[in-house]
Amino acid sequence: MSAVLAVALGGAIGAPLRYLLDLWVTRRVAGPGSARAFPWGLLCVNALGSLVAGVVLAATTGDLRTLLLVGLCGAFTTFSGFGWETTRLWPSHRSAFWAAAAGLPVACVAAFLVAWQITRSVTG
Amino acid sequence: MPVLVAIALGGVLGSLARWGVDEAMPATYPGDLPWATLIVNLVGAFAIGALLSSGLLQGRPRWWRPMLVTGVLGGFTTFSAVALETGVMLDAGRPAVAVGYLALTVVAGLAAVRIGSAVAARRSPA
Repeated sequence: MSAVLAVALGGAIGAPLRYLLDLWVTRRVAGPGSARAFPWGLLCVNALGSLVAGVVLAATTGDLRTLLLVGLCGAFTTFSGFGWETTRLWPSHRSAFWAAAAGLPVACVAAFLVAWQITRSVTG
Repeated sequence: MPVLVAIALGGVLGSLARWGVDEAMPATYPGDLPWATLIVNLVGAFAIGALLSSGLLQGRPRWWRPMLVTGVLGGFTTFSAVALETGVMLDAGRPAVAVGYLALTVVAGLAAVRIGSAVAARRSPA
């Protein structure tokens, strides 16, 4: 499989999966108040995608890595959605804004590092 | 067009465009900041602010927003690459660059959304 096909295939799967998980989580927590206004769906999507990226980086090579890392994880996670949802919190949900702006990126890095280190130690 | 199909199509286009930027740029990372990811995310952040504040999606077929916003821009921008690059730089003993990269991505990204919104709102007053 060529790299172009790998990226396209991963993107075709990752983007709809993100939509479904984000929608599923958001429907369960939606409501008034800062705690509910926090983008829980995007936190789940981006942290889970970063976690999977850690496993993929340690366990795969070649076109499979391109498919899963660049295509699937790349399209499953989103920065534009994070930026849009987070800036919208600024006017009326200041604490949720700061939690999203600072906490969500840190959670994603932590998820990646934990998955990467554990998978590296398992695969040697 | 069904929503999931529109998102998948947009996801393919966005992912290929992101990969294209990656391939077109000289490899600077992990020695230097991962410029390709930074550029992709800032452009995508500006674009989502501009698109959603422009009124361009109003009165369009229902699949426009899922395709362009969730699919193309969502697939174009990425958080997993940011987490990966930051984590690898931390692991490589470059904590200052890693934290600086993460902070720059978030601060400039949020600013890019607001700038995109402001530019679009000025050009198409509601």
